[in-house]
Amino acid sequence: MPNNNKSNGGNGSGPWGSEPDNDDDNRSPWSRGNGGGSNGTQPPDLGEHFEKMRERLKLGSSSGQNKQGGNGGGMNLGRFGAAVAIVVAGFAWLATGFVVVDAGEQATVFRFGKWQTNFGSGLRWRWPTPIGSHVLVPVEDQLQIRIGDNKSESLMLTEDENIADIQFSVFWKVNTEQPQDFILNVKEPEAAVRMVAESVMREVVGKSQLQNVITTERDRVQQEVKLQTQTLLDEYRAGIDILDVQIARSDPPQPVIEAFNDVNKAEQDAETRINNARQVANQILPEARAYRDRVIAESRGSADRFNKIYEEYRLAPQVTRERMYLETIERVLARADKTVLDSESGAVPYLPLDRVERRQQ
Amino acid sequence: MRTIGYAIIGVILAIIVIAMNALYTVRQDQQALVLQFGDPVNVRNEPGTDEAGLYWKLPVAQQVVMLDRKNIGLNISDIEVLASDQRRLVVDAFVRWRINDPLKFYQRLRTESQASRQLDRFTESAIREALGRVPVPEIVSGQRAQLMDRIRETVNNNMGDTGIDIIDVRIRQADLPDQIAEGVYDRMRTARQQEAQRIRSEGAEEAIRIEAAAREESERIRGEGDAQRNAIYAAAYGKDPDFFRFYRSLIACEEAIQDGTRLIVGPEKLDVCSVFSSQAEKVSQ
Repeated sequence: MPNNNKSNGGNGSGPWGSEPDNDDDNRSPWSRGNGGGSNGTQPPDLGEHFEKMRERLKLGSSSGQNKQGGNGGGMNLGRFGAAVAIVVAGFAWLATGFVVVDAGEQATVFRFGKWQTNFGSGLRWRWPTPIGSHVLVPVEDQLQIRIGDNKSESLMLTEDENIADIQFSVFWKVNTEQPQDFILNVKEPEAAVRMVAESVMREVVGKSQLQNVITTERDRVQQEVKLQTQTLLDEYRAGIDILDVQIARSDPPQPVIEAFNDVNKAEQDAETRINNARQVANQILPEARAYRDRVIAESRGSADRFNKIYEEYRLAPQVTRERMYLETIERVLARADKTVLDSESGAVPYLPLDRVERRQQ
Repeated sequence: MRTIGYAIIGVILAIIVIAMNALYTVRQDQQALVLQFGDPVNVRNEPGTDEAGLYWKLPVAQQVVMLDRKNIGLNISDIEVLASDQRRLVVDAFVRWRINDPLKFYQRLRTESQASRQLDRFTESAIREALGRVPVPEIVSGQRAQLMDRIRETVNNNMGDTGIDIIDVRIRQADLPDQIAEGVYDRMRTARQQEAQRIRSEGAEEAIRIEAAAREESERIRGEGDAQRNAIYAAAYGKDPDFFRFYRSLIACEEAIQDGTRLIVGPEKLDVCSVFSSQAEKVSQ
């Protein structure tokens, strides 16, 4: 009996002990398969694996039958049931190796903690669970980190020792080629991105003039921060791609923003004054030109008139002179409102000027 | 037979338990130190090697200490430093470090939090020391990168034998303390006010210049007109000044006495225009 049991135990331990055994058998084809770098060798290997297990089970049950020959059908049935259970358990165990990788994800696959390969999307199989493991990495997700939501983050010193108030966002994703770097190399990668980007931004702003940072050089600052952040993260082998750095706000700090706005307003004011002056200029210059032209035209006209009259006068000076004089007097007296007084009457001092006035009205 | 069967199962379970205790996995982002009754006997997967995987050890007798192999970040916050120009700055920094010698690390520091405490102290003093040697402008812009390198080296040297590698030390903030920042704001404000004043005044200057130039031009143009008129008159009237005087005084007389002008005159003085011509005569003499 002990003998029997021992051998039985040896056989019984077959399926149990087969795990490490199995491992040793299979490790070489697996590593060969991986060494070849193609996943294509996996399905045949899987088949082999099943085949071997089946063989081993068959062996177990047949040897049991041999040794326990006369023990009757009930015992046989029990053994068969156990075998089925073991097979089912085996399959269930193998099934723990299936991995569903969604679109936009990759699975970084490890065997005994050592990185093996990355799976793209789809249903894939790796070593079952205690041996293999995986981490799903969303390699296509674009992530955003906002920096500068509070004062202590957003205020930074510029080269000219002014203070700028800057809020920006870093857009990043996991590197599609090397997602394992993202998993393996840097602790708390998101926090690392934040730290690095903030420090780089402060360095870049520290090397720029305030006026440029808040106006013309925003673009340059963005590009430089993006580049340097990427360089540093690459040095850490963080497996992270910086997609973009966007400055949402770059202003003078709140307490002085009014003074800055006032400069803009001053520019407007100056412009307004200049425009007003131009308006005056645009008014008086045409007026002056009009005056000149009018004066010239009038004087020409008067001169022409005089010339005409003079020509006439030269023909008969005395007569013309008298005629002109009389005609003028005639016209003038005709339209004037005249009061002719006899100078001897002495009425002048009593002249009721107010009444003369009234009559005129 | 049944009890023997149970015994066998028990033995198998025991073997499994022991096997589980004897096997350990070192993940690729970990490094392992194997201690035999506290005495370090083996190191697995330290930086520079590629030894992640499954390993055996003596069950019970040997213990495995797992340490991180990743690049670890540590924030160093709010150190007030005095720069060489006697001005103060509030500095924030972070350190990226990793364990590069698990054995030394375990002996000297043992845990990450202990390491962080020590790093914090060392980095703080290294920052103070490095930044104390240069003036503020050099810290803010000039030599920032070199300063960070120097700090990193100092920390690395000081931490020398603790099994830690300092990957990077970076200054994050280097800002003026709040009370000094107020002064900066005042300066920025007054500088802007000056600028605004300058712009306004220059605008006024320009405006006045434009207006004056326009007035000058306008006077010149008017003068041109007047000059031309004089020339035209002179050319015409110069032909006979005497007749002109007569002619012009008649025009003046006509212009002066319009419709309804009240004339109160004696009958012998009705030749009202003679006043103008005799007056013109007088002026010309």
